[in-house]
Amino acid sequence: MSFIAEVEDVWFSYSDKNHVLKEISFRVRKGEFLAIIGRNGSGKSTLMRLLVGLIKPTRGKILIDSLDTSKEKVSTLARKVGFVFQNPNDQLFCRSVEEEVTFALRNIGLPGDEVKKRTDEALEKFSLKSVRGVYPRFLSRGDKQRVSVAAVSAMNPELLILDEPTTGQDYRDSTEIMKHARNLNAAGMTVILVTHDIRNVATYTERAILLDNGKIVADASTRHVLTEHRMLRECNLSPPQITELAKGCKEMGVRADILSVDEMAEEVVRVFGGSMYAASDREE
Amino acid sequence: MEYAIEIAGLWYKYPIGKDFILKGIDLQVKNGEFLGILGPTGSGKTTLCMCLNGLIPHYKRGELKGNIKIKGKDTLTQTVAELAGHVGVVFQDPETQLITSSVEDEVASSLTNRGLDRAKVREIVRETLGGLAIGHLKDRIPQTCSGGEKQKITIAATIALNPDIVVFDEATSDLDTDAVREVFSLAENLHRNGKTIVFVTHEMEHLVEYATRIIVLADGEIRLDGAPEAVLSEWRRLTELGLRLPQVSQLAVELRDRGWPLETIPLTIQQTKEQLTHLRETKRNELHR
Repeated sequence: MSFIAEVEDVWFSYSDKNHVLKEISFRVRKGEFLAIIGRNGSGKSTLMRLLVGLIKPTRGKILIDSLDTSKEKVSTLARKVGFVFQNPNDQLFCRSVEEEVTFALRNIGLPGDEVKKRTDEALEKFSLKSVRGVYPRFLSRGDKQRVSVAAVSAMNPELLILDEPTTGQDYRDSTEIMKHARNLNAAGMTVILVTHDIRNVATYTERAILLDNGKIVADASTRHVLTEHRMLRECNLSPPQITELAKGCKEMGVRADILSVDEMAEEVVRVFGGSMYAASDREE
Repeated sequence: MEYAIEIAGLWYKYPIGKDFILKGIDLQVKNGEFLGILGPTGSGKTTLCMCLNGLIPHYKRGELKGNIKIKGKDTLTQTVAELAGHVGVVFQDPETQLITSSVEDEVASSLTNRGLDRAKVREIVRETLGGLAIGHLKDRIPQTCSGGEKQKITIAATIALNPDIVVFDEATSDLDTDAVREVFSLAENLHRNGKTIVFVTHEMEHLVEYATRIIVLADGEIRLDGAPEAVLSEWRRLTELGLRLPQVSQLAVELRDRGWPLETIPLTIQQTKEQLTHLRETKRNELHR
């Protein structure tokens, strides 16, 4: 089975009146790093709750590793899907960082030595060994977020969902969380990143699904989605600043599908014909 | 009175904390400035904001040294309610500020608390909501509004009291890009109407377009203070502090590293385009010589 998630014509409404999600269909291949983007209120968080099985589709079907979320218990699905909440305060409730990591492992009935092994590994991997005995609420937001990701990834889920993991964090913390996500993905975990931090989408993900008003507006490569300026604008989003710059420099011969500063620097060098002065002639 | 905010030798420590969070802050903000505050998490930005509207030391006691004057008056000698007439603060999470069951009541409550008569309150609410283009939300339950709308409602509730100083404390963190832009342009409108703006954010790309001055806090101290261009020219220090430069500024840094003679670090897309156009012309002239 090559798909970890299969969403087939899913509709969802909290009340009878309005559908928060309509006609949602997509499949996530194992090992993908996928972004779900969309304005505030576009249905992103609802879709994630459906994937975890916290809520069930009003219509349609969701399969997580072939398990139907409407029929399975949340606890069964929790072995497959790990969910990191936007606000770590919603997730952390134990008395120490270590307990936070061991809690779910014990809960799924792993033997003591396995719990210890996985906990030690997670604390090591996320640089949390020095704070293992600390009450999580005393940590900074960035550190709390790292504890949440460590606790969830210790469960070794096949699919990791990160809901706005970098909101309200400075660049250093946000980069650190994203690098951890990239490492987990490189080790084979499928990662879904829900965010409106377009720079992170451009840097880390391969594919992006754009939601608006409860529907999928685009599902394509990140490069394709983030260079559709008009479509993004209609959905209250903007491309990365560097992508906007590239578009503005089109008449100079710069290609418009630039996603990163590095790519733009390469492109400027290509279009302008290499360095104008040798580095040694430069004024420092 | 020239200064909206005067802070001298400010040190502050929370009651439960071991260390001082603010360490000798000296800051004078002129009336009508648009001051941006950047700084890594934990640098003291929010603590500083709480000193401006008197939450520190009136609610959060802790240990405070130095003094803070708002419009020439020491915050110690004024109540939080009095200060609310001078300083309005919009926080990151609108959920924590929305308490009533209609948008109209939300904006009216602070005015009613001040003892204004009902007709006057209605008039101010209508004008404020209209000014932010959210008049149509008047009868909605704030909790059912979108993130961007909620933040606009808290801004309306804050500015309805007509404070001279409006503080945005990471007020755009939870918003999508259009809503971020809207909050910045609302701040800019207030600035144009003579208000003093203090804007705390991680969104350097937007901030440099609006701020007239930026300070960078780190570890409770002011590390950089100047016009946006001057602060960005210290890009090495900004990067060392873990702050993310605007991508266009980062591009200039990278091109310099590759030997391109860029004299200034641009702040905006427009400035970068001009810089690249100029470079291209220089290069053409070189070739024709």
